[in-house]
Amino acid sequence: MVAVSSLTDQPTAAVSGSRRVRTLASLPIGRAAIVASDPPSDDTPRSAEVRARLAEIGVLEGQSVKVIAAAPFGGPLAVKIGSGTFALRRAEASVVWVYSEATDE
Amino acid sequence: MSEHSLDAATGAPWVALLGNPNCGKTALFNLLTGSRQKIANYAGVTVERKEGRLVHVQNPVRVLDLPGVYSLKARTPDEAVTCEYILGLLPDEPRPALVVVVVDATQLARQLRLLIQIRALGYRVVVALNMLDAAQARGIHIDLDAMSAALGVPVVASCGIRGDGAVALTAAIEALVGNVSDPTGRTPVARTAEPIFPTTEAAQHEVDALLRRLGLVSLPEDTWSERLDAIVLHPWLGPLVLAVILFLIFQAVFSWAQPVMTMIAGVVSIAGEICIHWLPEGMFRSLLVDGVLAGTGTVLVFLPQIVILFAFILLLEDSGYLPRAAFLLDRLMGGVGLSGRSFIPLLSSFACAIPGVMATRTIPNPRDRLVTILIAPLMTCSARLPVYALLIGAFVRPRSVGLGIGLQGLCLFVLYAAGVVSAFLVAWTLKRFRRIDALQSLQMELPSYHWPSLRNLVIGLRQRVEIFLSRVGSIILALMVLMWFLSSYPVPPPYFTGPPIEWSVAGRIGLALAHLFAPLGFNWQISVALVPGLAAREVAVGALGTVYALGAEGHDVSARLATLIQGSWSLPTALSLLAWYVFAPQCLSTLAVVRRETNSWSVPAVMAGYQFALAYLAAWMTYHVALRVVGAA
Repeated sequence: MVAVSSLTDQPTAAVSGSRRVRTLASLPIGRAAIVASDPPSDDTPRSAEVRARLAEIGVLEGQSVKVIAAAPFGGPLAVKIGSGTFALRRAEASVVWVYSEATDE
Repeated sequence: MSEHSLDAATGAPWVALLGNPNCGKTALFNLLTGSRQKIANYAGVTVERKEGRLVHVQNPVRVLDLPGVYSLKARTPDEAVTCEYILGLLPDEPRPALVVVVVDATQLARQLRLLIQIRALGYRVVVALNMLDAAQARGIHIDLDAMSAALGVPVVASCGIRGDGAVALTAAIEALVGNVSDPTGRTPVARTAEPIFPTTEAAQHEVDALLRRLGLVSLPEDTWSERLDAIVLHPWLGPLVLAVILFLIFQAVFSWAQPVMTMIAGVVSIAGEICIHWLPEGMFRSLLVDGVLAGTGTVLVFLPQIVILFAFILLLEDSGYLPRAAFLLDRLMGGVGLSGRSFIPLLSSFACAIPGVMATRTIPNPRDRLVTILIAPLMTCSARLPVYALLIGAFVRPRSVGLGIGLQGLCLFVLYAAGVVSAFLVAWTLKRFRRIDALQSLQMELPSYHWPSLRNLVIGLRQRVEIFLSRVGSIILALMVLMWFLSSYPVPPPYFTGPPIEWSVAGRIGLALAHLFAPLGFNWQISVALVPGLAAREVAVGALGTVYALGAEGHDVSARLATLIQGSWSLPTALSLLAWYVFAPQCLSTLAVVRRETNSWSVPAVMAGYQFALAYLAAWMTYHVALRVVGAA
């Protein structure tokens, strides 16, 4: 909760073309998604830096991701990235945009 | 260890082991070199370079184990070691004749990316495909020849956790290194030039295309780990499992250790009896019985408890559970301004703060790292266990508080928890004085679960026992002998009517220090025992053994120390000493390592200062609260 406060102003979902784009942090548990190419327009240099570091562990455009668990009280997320699983802070996950092929809601 | 044979290999070619964190480099290194470096199932175990010499080969070859990296861009001090080495930024460092890129066969898509980047640097490369057995069990079948042809480098199957898992790799290394005409002088990358390698994105594209060609996309998942994670990472089942595991450990430390402890105490007291029976009364006998046996014997008794504690820690490390525990506790870490990266260093500190402080090299943010170093000694290290166990054994009756929960184990749990809570409070206080990055990162890998290997457990436990015994046999023994001399001399003149020890140097130091510690309820015996505890915490227990052995009539102190202090200390004094040891600022080796790791004198000074203040305050408060409660009752 502490860490996310500065980022809550950002939209958590947007419609880009025909697909629904959202942040990795807002992805429901268990739903697979694909990492989208472009960051939101209000991106900061700091979040670009974090995204670059996430790229090193495989959060790259076109790669599949899935949130498999969320720790309670706003704790970290366990995210399947390719064939590996990583724990990410929610603030970290909110700088990554993803889309899922399945249309719902 | 093979370090001693390294000198003979001067000038021999180097082979460097490189790969992602937790892909099994160190396990392979151990097999290749016959070393016994620490391995565990989480990322970031190896934080510095380790050297060894290839065994079972004709010509000498030196092997270098490096901390794991995801790419050639370093984020942390431990990764910088690897990146600077492989990018050739260290001018004095000989370049490797061969780079072994270790790849976890179940994580090809991510881990082969590093190979693409390293290959571009111009090194002679061989791929060691690790954990091939785990991949096969999951239904992933890899054609090594096809992969080798596609990558353009040799691919060898290896298995770091099986005894014969490095035979093929050793042969490949020998063949490839043997081909190099001038192995030491080989310079694959011009040192002056900026090293050029593909970007992460480009390398990933190449790997993806390659895996598509090999038919290695959309591989079967590790359903076992996923099913376990559904419970272990569950929002409320997960913390419950964690609490049960921790609780079991503390219960086991007390209830399982008892029979063996009684046995060791019995052996020590028989040794004392033998000395008394065969040796003439005098200085030498007193040195052996009151100094050596009473001192080291009282510490030795706690070996079973340390073995049990480490058995649990090793099993948890090997299974892959530890990063999951870090996942569950990360919210708490964030609340006090730390990143989840601090968890593993803090956990290592339960063994000893020294590896814990070194493990902070895996923390990217320097300020987070500093705070973690400052609070690491508040985690209860294994050297404090004898002190806790002695006092709990003496002052807490071994009864059940219901539900099969033993009161002694519960007390130990509370003491460990007190250390953790204080560490969090200190970190929380420091948080007010620093800016916390809103985007603190965690990026901690949750590895696949493995069945803990019995071999690893046995090796790990044997190392712990060796470390403990060599401490008892060296520093503790030496301090005990010194303690005996200081407690025996000078011999009091005939007119001195008090106990002889009060005339001795140790007695006088104790009586002087007792003024400082009297507000905490410490008598002069405790005060003097705290001094050698500076060098090794468990010596405080041994020192009490010697002080009481020289003061008391009987000679069976290792078995009776608990009874002796039970008779002469009040409960508030015992509780106060326990509170003191939660903070226990007295560990010179930790301070020395902190100085080395932070390259400053002020950090260890601040550390010693704040811990002394907290220890004094906590002991004072405990003593006075306990006096009120006990006095009223």
